[in-house]
Amino acid sequence: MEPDHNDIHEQFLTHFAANEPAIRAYVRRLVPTRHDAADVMQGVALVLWRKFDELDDTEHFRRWAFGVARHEALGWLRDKARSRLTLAEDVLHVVACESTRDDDRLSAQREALEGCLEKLPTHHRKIILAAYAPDAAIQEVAGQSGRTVAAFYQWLHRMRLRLLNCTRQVLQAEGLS
Amino acid sequence: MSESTDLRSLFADYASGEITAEQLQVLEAALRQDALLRRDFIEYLNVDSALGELAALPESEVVRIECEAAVAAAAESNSGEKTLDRPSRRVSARLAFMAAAAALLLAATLWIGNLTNRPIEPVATLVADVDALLLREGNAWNDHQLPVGKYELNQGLLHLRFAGGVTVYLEAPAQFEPLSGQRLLLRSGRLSANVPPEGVGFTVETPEAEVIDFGTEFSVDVSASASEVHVFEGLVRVQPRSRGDIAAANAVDLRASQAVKIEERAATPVEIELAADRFIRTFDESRRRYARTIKRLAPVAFYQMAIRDQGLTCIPPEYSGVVLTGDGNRPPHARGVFSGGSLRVLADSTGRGGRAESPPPLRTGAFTLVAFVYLESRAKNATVATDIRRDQGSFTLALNQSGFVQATVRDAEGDLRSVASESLLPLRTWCHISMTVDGDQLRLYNDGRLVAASSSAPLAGHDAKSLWFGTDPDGLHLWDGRIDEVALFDKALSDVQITDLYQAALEEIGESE
Repeated sequence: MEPDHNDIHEQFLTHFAANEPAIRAYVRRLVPTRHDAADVMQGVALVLWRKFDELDDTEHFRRWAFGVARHEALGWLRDKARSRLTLAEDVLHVVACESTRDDDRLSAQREALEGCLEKLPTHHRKIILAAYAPDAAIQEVAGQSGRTVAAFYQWLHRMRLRLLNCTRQVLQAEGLS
Repeated sequence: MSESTDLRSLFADYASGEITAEQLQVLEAALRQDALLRRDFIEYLNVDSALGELAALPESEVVRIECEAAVAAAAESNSGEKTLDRPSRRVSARLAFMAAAAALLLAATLWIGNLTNRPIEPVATLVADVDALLLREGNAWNDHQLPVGKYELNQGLLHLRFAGGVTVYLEAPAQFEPLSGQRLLLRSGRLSANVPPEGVGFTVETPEAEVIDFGTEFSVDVSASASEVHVFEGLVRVQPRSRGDIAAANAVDLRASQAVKIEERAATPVEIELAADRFIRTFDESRRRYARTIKRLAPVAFYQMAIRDQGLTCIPPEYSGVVLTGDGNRPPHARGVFSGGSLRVLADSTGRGGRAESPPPLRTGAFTLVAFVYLESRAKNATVATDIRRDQGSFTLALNQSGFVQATVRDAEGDLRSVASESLLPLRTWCHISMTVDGDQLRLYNDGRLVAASSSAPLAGHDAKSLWFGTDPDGLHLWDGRIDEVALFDKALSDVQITDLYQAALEEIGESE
């Protein structure tokens, strides 16, 4: 018996929900800013749903979704190429390939981040999360932290590098580096 | 990390959309040539994406908060339980508390400063706290720097850092006094310390002894009449103190897996069994062999029972929930089966289980639940996990009225089917329990071995509104002990897969010992 439309929709949502952070992170690695990634993700979700019946084996949902996301991100970048500064396609192809190859480690890194964030002093953690909150106004967060916007971006950069180092140490300790 | 520091500063410009055409060209050329820089770049954006995920409040969370008031009111009237708030709701209360504590601190600093004209030097740093209620000299203390003083931890857990990178985990209830960056007096309670080579010589004093560390991991438990020292790695020297008419006995050196107890009224330490399960030694969950094996099998939800301030976390996060609490002494977390924590229910703790308001969908009719359980007493009618409330929901894993493990499912016809083991679980031992439904059989496994099976139609369509751990929906039939590493699958795992999971767990436990 053919599964009805509702069943397929539910099945899709289950897979999409489980893999959404990984797909979003994959898209994030291909486009310049977080807002760009959010833009691309809207299209990716729609295409994934439209093409879901083309997927032979749902066990491979994530790999298949990466392929779709890569196609969508590159299409989006081509559209924006005239108005935006984006990396050349050959560089993005290498980044996309290496992202897919290292997916397990990158997923583990995202999971390790929560623990690393907790190791930061509470006030640092709060400022970082405020800067990343949906609809956050960087000017306001920078002002609340007592920094100019430029100094705040510098500080945020240093925090990202610190968190990145921490996640690497966690992964190394667990034999995943 | 790549040495190209200057180039890495371009990541930030690129990620904020502020990069210039010239800078982009430089970055592009470098990324083409330098594989290490490319790795830095990929991971930098990966961290950027994950921070966005952590900062975003998922929709399910908003729905959960809206439901919370009604559900919590019902739960409180039934069992007197409270919920551990997640940040969204605790922020305002916590900010108010911090503001009050900061005002108090400012007032106290000015007052002491006037008296002594000497600033208070911090000797330890608060790395993280989980639902902690900390007092210093009787006043709430919420600063992340801890100066010398008398502290009481009345609730929750603390992670402190001392000089030389020494880390200390403290569990409520505890009374302690950081004396310097290298010395801590524990008057009562439990702590675990991890001492890297730079921190050698770090000393924990108790009323009965001095514990001097030589680069290791150890735990100390101070009760009203005795101190215990448990060594997990390295070497520790325990020097009993002279107390009243008791002369100090000779020091004893303890190595890995050794433990001693020094009674208030005895001179000599007595060797005791190592209590590997008693102490929280890290807040970090293991991502090693067992977690990886679980993830390869694609669960719909995986609750590692991490020690986190934001409640009951799940992978994926939309199925996260809350830790339920009531009256008790110890925190609702305990050492887990691997490193990190577990959910503690009853067992002298404030823990009353956990609840996830938006459980993962189960659609296929096939199902698996896998969990580790640790039982403190001969409990009966005690819940491990359930989503059944009245005529909704489809599974329960629990101890039945005889104390045997029982798996129950509601099948597609609406009938409840159960299967139970024929032996009791051992006490104070981690056990790996699994239940599976494949549309034909309901099976129950203990430590990777099939222990009971009976026929069962596929699982009923999923209409559950919530999922509970360690309690039933009415706050009754509580577990007594710990629950850890709960994984739910929308499919039936095979005998071989269940055995493989248990083997992976054994190997990981073996590696850590």
